[in-house]
Amino acid sequence: MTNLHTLDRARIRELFDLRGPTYALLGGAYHDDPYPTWHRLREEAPVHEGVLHELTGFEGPAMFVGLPEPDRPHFTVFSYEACEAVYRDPEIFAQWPDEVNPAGGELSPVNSMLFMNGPGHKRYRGLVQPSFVPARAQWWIRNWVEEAVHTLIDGFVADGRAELNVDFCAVIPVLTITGSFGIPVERALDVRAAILAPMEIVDIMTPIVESRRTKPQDDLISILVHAEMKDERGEVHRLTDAEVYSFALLLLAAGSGTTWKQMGITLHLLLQRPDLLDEVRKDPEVLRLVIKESLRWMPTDPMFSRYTVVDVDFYGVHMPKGSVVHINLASANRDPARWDRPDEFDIHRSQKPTFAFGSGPHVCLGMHVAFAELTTAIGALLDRLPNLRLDPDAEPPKIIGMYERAATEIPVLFDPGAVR
Amino acid sequence: MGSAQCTVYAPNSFTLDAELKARVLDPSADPPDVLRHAVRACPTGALNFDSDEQEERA
Repeated sequence: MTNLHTLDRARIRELFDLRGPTYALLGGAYHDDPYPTWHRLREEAPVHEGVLHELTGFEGPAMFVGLPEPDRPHFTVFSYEACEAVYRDPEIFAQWPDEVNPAGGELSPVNSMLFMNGPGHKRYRGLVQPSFVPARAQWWIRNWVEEAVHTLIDGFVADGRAELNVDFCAVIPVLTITGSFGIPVERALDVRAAILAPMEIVDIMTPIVESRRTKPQDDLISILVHAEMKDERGEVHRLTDAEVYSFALLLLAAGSGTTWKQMGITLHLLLQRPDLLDEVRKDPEVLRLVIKESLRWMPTDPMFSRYTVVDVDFYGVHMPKGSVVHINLASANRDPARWDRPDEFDIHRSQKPTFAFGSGPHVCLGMHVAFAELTTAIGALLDRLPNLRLDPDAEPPKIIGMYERAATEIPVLFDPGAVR
Repeated sequence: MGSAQCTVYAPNSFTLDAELKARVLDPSADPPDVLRHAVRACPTGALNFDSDEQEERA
């Protein structure tokens, strides 16, 4: 990955800065702390009629999956117990209201397994699940994560200062996932820029898919191209081009979109706690606890949605068939019925499951890879940048955003070191 | 489904087999509250406590 210099810093900023155009429609203009309002709403009732950002007092724009859907009733769920009930009952709370068929239909991230229900989803997910289990974490780290992390650090290690959020965090997941799809570094940002323009990604992927068909390599795209799937009639077949591209669009978007923001949130938490930073330096196991607690305390994507397939009475609220149900998982993660002192960032609290990666049959496919990226990247920063600290003369980082939350910037100083 | 959540929460008690189904290694290898977290963490609710055997159903 020596050609990392081909990445254009200004373009990275344009694509990833929460304050920039990319995130403006996703609620980038929201700069407040939503948690006090969410506590109040949860105390009033576990389920409210309405859309999360409006209930939070933010008029928008704030788009996300499940929005705006102006012709449907909307409900938002705030308590851990009620969120769990939605996640665990996909027969009532479906992932998507319409039939999805990646083998046909329009090419888009929506026409993918993310929006399928029941056995169809299970068949598709089963093809990639083996590549995303914890036992495969080292495969991801060795093949893609480490190289990206250390090459990026080489780029600023001698300077004694860096901006970590966009210049470091944002780049690692996009290079990891594009690398696993065989996409060269110089096209990585093109992929991110084209997330909503599927044909451009297909143009990039076509020669790669063709070459992997005849000559598989040790990467995810080779696994997809050669995967065999049993259809509903029990017949085994290889994935069609349309199915491969559907996977590519979904995994490239999901893989490059979330982990970097959680990395910045975790770094921002650590850098504001020098004592904790020292603990992590002494014992790498502490870093795992920090990451887990960061995922509970502030998951980067606070809300995902489901659609009711029947009329349902739920926690005292009547939801007609076809309603959109927004799961405020970030609120659930601070439900005082489940956690003492829920607003306190405490790495020593009991390791109860959280909804940082969702739950139910659509629980985050990439969660173990995300965890591997977070530990590898933050661990390498602490190893290679002695005396790492926030730049006291720069504006301190702030977490902003409604449906995609992330740090503004993370300007740091450290003792200059050597390139590998 | 092979989410492997149980192996994260109770790594001494659970493993995934070749078909990515959860299997119990040794139900006494983790403390009871750790086991409880592992069972609740299962995204599809596929794990259940059986107080006599602590056997799982995947």
